[in-house]
Amino acid sequence: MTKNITRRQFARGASAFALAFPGLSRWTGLNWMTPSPENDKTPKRLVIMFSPNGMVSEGFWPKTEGPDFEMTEILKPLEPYREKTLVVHGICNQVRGEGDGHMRGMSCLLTGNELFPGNIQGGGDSPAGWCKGLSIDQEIKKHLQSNEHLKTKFGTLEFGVRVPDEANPWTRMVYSGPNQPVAAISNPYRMFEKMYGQLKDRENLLSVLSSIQKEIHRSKNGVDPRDLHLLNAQQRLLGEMDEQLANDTGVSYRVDPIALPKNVVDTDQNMPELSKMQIDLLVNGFENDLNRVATLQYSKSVGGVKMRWLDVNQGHHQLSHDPDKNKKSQDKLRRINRWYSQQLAYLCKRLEETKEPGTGQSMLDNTLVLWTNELGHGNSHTLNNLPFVMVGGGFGFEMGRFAKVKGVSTTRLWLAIAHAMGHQIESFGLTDLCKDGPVKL
Amino acid sequence: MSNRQTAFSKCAYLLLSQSISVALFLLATTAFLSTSVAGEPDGKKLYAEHCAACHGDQGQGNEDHFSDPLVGDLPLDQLTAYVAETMPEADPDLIVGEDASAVSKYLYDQFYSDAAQRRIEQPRIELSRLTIHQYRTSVADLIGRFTKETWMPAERGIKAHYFAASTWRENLRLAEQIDHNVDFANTVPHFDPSYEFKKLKNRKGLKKLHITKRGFSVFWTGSILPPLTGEYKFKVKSKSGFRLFVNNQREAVVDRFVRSDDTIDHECSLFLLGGRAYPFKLEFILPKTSADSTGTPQIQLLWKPPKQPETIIPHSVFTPFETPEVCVVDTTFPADDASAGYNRGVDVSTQWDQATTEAAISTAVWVARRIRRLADYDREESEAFAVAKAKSFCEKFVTVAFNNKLSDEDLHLYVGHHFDQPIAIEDQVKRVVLMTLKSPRFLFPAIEKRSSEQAFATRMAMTLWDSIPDTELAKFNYKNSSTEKEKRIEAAYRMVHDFRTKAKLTRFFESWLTAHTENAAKDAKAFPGFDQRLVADLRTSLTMYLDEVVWSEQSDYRELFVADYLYVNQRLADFYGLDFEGQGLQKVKVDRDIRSGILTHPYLMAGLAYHKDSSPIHRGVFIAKRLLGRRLRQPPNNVQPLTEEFAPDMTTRQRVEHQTKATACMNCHSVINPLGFSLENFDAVGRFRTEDNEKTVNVSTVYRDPQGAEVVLNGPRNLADFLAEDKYSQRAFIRQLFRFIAKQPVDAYGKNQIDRLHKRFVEHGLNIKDLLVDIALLVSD
Repeated sequence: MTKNITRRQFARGASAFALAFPGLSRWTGLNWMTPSPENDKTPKRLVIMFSPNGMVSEGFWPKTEGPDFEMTEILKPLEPYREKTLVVHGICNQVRGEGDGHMRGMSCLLTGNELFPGNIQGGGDSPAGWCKGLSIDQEIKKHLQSNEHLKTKFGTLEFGVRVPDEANPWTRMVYSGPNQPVAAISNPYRMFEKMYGQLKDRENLLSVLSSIQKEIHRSKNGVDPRDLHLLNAQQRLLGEMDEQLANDTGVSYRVDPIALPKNVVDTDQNMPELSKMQIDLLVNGFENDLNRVATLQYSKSVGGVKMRWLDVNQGHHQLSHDPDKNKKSQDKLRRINRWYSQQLAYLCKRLEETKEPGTGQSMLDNTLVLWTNELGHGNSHTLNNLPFVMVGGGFGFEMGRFAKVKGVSTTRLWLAIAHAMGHQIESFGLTDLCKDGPVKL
Repeated sequence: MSNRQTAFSKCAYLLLSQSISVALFLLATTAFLSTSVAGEPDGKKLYAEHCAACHGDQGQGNEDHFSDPLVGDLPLDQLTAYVAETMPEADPDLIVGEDASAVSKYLYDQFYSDAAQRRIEQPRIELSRLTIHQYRTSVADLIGRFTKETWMPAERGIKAHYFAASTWRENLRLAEQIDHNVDFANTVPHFDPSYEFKKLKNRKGLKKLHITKRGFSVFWTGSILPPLTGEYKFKVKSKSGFRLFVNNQREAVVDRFVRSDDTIDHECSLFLLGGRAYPFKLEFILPKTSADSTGTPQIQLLWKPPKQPETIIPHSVFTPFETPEVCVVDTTFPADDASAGYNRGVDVSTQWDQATTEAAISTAVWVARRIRRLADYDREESEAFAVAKAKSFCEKFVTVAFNNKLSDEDLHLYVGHHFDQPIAIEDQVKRVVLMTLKSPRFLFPAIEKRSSEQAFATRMAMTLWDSIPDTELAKFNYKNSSTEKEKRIEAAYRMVHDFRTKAKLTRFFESWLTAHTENAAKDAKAFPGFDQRLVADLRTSLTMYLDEVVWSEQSDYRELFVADYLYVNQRLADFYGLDFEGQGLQKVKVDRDIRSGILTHPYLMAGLAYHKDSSPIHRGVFIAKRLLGRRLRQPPNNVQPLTEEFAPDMTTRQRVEHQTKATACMNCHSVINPLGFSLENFDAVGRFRTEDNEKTVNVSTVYRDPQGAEVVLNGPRNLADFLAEDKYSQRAFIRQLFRFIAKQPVDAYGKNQIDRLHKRFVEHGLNIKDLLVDIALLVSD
C-alpha cells in the first residue's frame, strides 16, 4: 500500500480530529469504538455465503452419515478442512405465503419470515414485495452492537460478487427490518471505500496541506498589505489543521488495508478475480475488527452468470432448469457448484492463515462460515433440503461429519446459530416455525 | 446673545446642581470663546463643545453614546430645525437660532451630507474570498466544463413515455408526449391523438388511458428548474412502484420500485442552486395482475421549495430536455459578512476554513466517482491509458479553476506530483481536486496573476455570474485588435443573456425587494383565503413581472414602477377581484390609478404590513431606504405601534401621525411618513381600499427630497411616477445593483463613477441590461 506515507500517519485515528473538526467527522468517520478490548481475544465471527439456483444432488450430498462422510466432487475443495466441516441435510425453508419459489427462497432464507403482498410478479404465484422481518446476520449484529465489548465499527458488512444492480426480492437476502432490504456491495472498490474510504480522504487531505500553505505564502506577493490579514488567517488555520492531523494518535488499525489490484472491471469474466478481492477484503475487515458478521452473496436468485472460464457458456439459471437426466447440464452444474465450493475453500484458507492478534490462533477457529442456497434442487424449485455446509470453529457444533435431520425449518437452524454466537433468543422469524427450539445437530 | 445667556444659565444650573463648580468655570469660559471676534457663531467650536463628546470629533459616533455615525441626507434646513429643537439631548435649548444654523452647517459640510461623505471616504477595491454563493456556483461550473455543456432550455413541460404493460416494451408503447406535470390523483392521462402507435393492437381511437391486465407503466424525463437556492423537499405520492431520479442519472433519490407497504408519501431532500437545470426522471409501474390495474394509476409529484408551501411541481419548472448533472456543494458555510448591505467575502474564520475543506472533500469524492465519464475513458481501457486521461483531465481542471495558463512548475505541484504517488487513480484525482479547491488561487480569484484577457474574463464571470468563465469567455482574445472595445462589449452582452446572469439578477431582486418582506402571516378571520399558497402565487407573480421587465427588449427601469399589468392566476384574481380566464399565471391589465408596477404589487404591500393593519412606516422606510437610497437612523427600540384600541376613531394614518409627531421622531419620519401615506390605499393584504376605519383614506402628502425640493404626492400612481423619474431613485438603484453584483461599492472604482453610470443609464433610456453591461465592464476593464 502507500508506503510513502507511514502507516502511523495513515492509521492515526481521528478522535481528536473529529473533536477539532466536527464538520468533517462524516469524512473522517472515526466515531466508532476502539477495536476489541484486550480481554476479547477470541471473538466469534460469522460468515454466510450464498450461491444461487439450487444444488445438484448427485455430486454434492455425501452418502454416509457421520464422521466418515465422503468428500463428494463438489465438497472436494474443502478436503483440507474436513475436520472442521459440518454438512447438514434436511433443513427446509418452510415459509409460505406471497411470492414465487425463487423469491421466497431468497428473501425468506435468512429471515424465516414471509413476504408482504406487493407489486412484484414472479413465475405464477401471487405478487409480493419485501420481507416482513430481519435476517439472521442482522439479528446477530444487533446483539453484538448492543454490547460495548463486542461492538465494532460496522457490525456487519454485506459483500457481493456479480449481484446485479436491481432491487427486488430475488436480489436481496439481507434485511435490517421489515421492508428494509440491504443491498450487497458488489464492487470491491466500493466496498473498500466503505471500509477505509473516509480514512483515505483524511490521508489525501493531509497530503496536500503543506503544499497549499506554500501556495498561500507565494500568493501574498503583490497583495495590498491591508488585505494580507485574510491570507494570514487562512495560513494559520491550515497550520492548525495540519498540526491536529499530525499529532492525532487515536485509534489505529492492526493491519494495513489490503492493496486491491487496480482496474478490475465488474464483468462475469472477471468473477474469479472479483471473488478473490472480496474474500481478501472480508478477511482484512475481520483482522481490523471492523465487523464480526459478514455475508457474501454470489449473483442472485435466478442469477444468469455465465462461467465461461469453466467452459460453461449458458447462464446458470437456465441450466438449473434442465432435468437430472440431462447429463451434460448436470455436469456443468457440478462444475459451477464446485467452483463455489472452491471460493468457500479459499475463504477458509485465508481465515486459517490469518492469526488472531495476540493469541496466534487461527482466525478460522473463531469463525463459523456457512454456505447455502435459496433452493434445495434447481430443476424442482424445492425449498426443502437446502444445502448447508458449515466450516470453522464449531462454537458448540460437532464438526467433521455429515448430519441428517428431517424436515427442520431454517428458523430452527438460525436459532442454533444465534445461540452459538452467544445470542440466546427463543424465537426467530415466524414463531410457529421455532416451536421445537434450536435444531440439534 | 440672549439665547446664549439663557443657555449658559441653564447649563450652569445643571452643572451646579451636580456640585461641579470647576466644570462650570471651564464651560463658562469655553462657551464664551465659541463666539468669534466678529460675533458670528463658530460652528466648529460649537460642535467640539456640545456635540463631539457624544457624536465623536468627526461625527464618527461614540460607543457609549451614539454609535451610529452622524451621516444622513436631510436637507440643511431640516437638519438645522432638528438640531435647534432637540440638541443637545440633555438640554435642547442650549443650541438654537444662529448657533443651530452654524453648527448644522458645519457638520453638514464636514461629514453629514452625501457630498461630504464622498469627499471623506476613500473606499478601495478590497481583496475578497469567494462568497458562499460564488463558491458553489464556481464549483458547479468548474465541473460543468467537463460534462456536456449545460444550458437553460426555453421549452416547458416533461416528456412522458407511456406503455400498455408493466415493462417498457417498445412494442407496447402507448404514447410519447409532453406532459404538464405529474398529477394522476385528479386526472387520467389523455394521450395525444396524433401520436402514431407503432405496433400496438387495437390502438385506433385510443385517446384515454385504458389499463389492461398487462399493467401499465410510464416514465417521465426532462430537467427541473428550481428558481431559488436552498433545500428542496421532493415528495412522491403513490402506492404503486416508482423510482425518482434528480440530478443523478444512476442512483435514484427515492426508490420504491418494489412495493409491499401502504405508505403513500415518500420524501427526500436535496440542496439545489437556483436558476439552473437538473436532470430528472420518474419511473412508474402498475403490475400486470394487481387489483389496482383496473383503476386509475395514482401518482403525484410534489415539492416544497425553500420557505414556500408544498405544491404539485408546476409545469413552469419542467423542461423536456435532459441537461447534464450538476455538482452541487451542499456543505453548510458560516454566513458571509453582510454589514455593508450586501454579502461579501471579507473574513476568513475557522468555520469558513472547515467548510471549504469539507466542500473540497465532497467535491473530490463526487469527481472521483465519475472520473471515467469526466476524463472520457472506458472502464475496459488499459491502466496506462486511464492514468494519462485522468492526468490530462486534472491538468485542465486546475487550469480552468484558476483561469490561467499554468507553468510547468505549477502543473507539477498541483497534478504531476500526485500522479507520481503509488496510489489509485481515484485518490490521485481526489488530491488534485482537494488541493485546487483549497488553494488561495481558487478561493481568492483576484490574487492570481493573469494576462489582461484572462483577468478580464475572470472579473466578468465573477461580476455577472458569480462564477468562473465558460469555455467561450476563457478563450476571449482581443490581442492586436482594433476592435478591442467592441469585442469586450459583445462578450458582455452575450454574458448578460446567459442563465447565470438571470439567476444572479433574481438574487438581486430578492435582496433588493423581498428579503425584508417576509411578514406574510395575516389575520385569518379578517382575510380569509390569504394563505401560504396565495403568498407563494404572489411571489411567483412578482418574479414573473420582474423577469418580464428586465429581460424585455427595452429593459426599462421605469417599467418597474409604471407598468399597468399584473401576473395572476385564478386564485389571485378571485382574491384581488380581477377578471381572469385561463390556466396558470397570466398577465392581466390593471387600472394604473389603482395599481402601478412593483410598488403596489400585493406581495410587497402585504409583506410591508401588519397582521391586520397596513403599516405606512414599514412601507415608508422601504421606499426611503431601498428605492430612494436615503439614510435613516436605526429606529428606537421597543416602540410598539398604536393599536386601534388606543384610538378607535382614528385611521391608520392618523395614528402614525399622532405617534411620530415629536420632533425627535420627525428627523426620520418627515421622510418616512409621506412615502408610506401615499400607499394607504392598500390594506394589510395589499387589496385596494378607499376607506380605512370607515373614513376616507387620505393619501395626499408632501415629500421633501435631499435637496429640499418639495414633491406633492397624491396616491400610488403619483408615487410610482415620481420614483420612476427621480434621479435619487435611479442612483440608489445603480448603487445597490453595483454593490450586489461587484461585491464592492461603486465609489471604490472612482469618485465620479456613480455620476458617469447614471448619465449613461439615462442616455440609454434607463435600460437595465445596458446598465449591467456598463457595470461589468467598469469592474472588469
